Amino acid sequence: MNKNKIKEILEELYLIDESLKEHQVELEKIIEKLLAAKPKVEINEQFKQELRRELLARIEEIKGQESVSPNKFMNIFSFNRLSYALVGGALAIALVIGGVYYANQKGFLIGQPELGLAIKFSTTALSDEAFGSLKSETQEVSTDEQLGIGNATGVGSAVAPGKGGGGGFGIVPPDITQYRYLYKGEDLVLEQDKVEVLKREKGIASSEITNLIRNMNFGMVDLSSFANARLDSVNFIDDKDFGYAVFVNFSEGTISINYNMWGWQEVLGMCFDPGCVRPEPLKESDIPSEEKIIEVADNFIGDYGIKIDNYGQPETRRDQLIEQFRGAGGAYGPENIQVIYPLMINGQYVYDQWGNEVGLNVDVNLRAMRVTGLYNLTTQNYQSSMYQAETDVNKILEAAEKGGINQQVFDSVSKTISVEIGTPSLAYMKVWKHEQGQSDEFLTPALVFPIDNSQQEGTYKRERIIIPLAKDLLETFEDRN
Amino acid sequence: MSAQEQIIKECQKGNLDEFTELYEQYFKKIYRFIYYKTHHQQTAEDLTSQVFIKTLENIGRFNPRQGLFSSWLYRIARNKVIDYYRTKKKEFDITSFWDLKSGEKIDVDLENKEKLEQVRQYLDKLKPEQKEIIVMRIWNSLSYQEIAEILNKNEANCKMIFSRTMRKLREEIPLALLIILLIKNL
Repeated sequence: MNKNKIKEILEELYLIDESLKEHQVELEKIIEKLLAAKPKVEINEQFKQELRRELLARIEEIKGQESVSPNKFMNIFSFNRLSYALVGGALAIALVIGGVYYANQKGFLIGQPELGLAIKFSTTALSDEAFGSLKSETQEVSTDEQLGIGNATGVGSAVAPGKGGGGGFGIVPPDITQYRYLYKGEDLVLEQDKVEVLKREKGIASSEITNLIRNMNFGMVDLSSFANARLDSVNFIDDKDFGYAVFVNFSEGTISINYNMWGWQEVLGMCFDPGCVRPEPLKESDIPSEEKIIEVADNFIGDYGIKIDNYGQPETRRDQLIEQFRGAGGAYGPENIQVIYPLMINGQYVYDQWGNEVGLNVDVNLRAMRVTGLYNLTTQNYQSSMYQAETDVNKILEAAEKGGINQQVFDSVSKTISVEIGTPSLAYMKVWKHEQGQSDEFLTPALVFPIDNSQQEGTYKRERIIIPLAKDLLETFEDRN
Repeated sequence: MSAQEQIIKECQKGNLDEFTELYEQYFKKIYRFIYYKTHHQQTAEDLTSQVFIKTLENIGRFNPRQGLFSSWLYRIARNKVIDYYRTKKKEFDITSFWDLKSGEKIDVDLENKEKLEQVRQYLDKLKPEQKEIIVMRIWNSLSYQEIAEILNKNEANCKMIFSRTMRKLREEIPLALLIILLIKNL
């Protein structure tokens, strides 16, 4: 049996590198002994049966949960739709919306009616190139991406990657350092001639709820007079000390949470009264460990039942924050740090055009050690379509060595530094397509090249360069060059 | 549509009883995959349980257009092992048994301990990724397509890494170590 296995492995090896045939005897021995060294694995049949029983029990549990699924709950409203009386409608809305947030503090987005904001990942396959060109009418960088960040200009933010924050982006400082990237990874081979591009379907409020609201008369205005009214967004205020404001945007399929300012002033060291004494700036020694910061974010997510199934291990950029503290010489210290839970699609990370991780962002206030905001909690329903992939390795590497498809190249720079980039891995790149005043969000398969941080200067150190594999997008780079 | 594809489709429609078929098909493979990364029966059993429960709960998310079901399942298993070693991060900064440095001790089954130590010494000069591909191809008999999908790499690159690793083993690993390995395993 081993002989067949060895033969199979050798034949594959020769297909990859024919010159290895010269060393057949030695290679045979190496493979033979590696096979012989394989540890003996004994399967515990009792364990296997126990796990089988456990799975069956879990299956029953899941079936039980499905029998009270949100969709069935929503059907109640289909039945009640005949009754559009104001009181009935208001009660129904209160029940549904209240069900999302207030009725069960532990139940935010779990086990309650989802109002169309499904957080579970799903895709609907469409025909090839169904979204048309993925390029924007004008190649603008979207507002949630960070202009200038790729130039390592020495300005940066102590936020985790993914969402802007801190200051300084967009301002070209006098000293510009241009980076030149040199590929030092393994030889690349690109075999796939098509890649699956995903387009996020933005959240849409359920028609039942929209109908209920549209037919309401608030006294001051009769909503039914707006023939095409739809539910766009809802804002909740949790009116208490350390309360939060929750903003649900049905059109965009997003939810954000912000601290509700009243009740937070003291703990956040805010000063509105002229006589108020501002607290001392935070010191470097006031920055807790990354574990403690993440624990605060994790607890918040647990307490409010926020579903993070689509997100990976949280991280912060505490090191950069510390560098900011040192740079400020004790005169000023940032009060907040961002924890990012990276979005994972099909087991792959998602990055923006500058290679920053995209994900759920949680702001933790270092003075209060409380969460003050949560952003980018989005629906994960996608349409998918196959697009032509770039198979020319040289084109990919050329774009990578220039820093990415949207990297700005300055005519005049004070310094150029060469930085090495390594073998890429697969990921998704988030791109926005702006067309006729509308913005659509796409995820395209991409290659992510890690950057050798040790060769970079400044507080902000770029970690990776991302190059989309969809040919259509790579043409953006070719058009520029 | 293959029988397996049909089963997965049924599970995704909510007929989860069919999941036991997948369990039967993959139990041994997943257990072995985890065992080769942990070399500890109790740990491998715990992680195998977690993998199948997670797979059951998330099967609706599997997208056949993104790759093989087996790769998806192995990837869940690989992530579980990485998470397991992360919980031990204070003791070891590793993601697999193979990343342990000489002298670092972790629970492993006694019957394989000596053999493993020799293999580890033998593979010591390889990068973690090279070791992982060797184990997946030679011990787990995974296809390059599966390996590529598990590691989130391109299939051709995985083949290239494997061939270069074999060349490196032939060229750079001291013959004496190979001889020790040969003798001990005779």
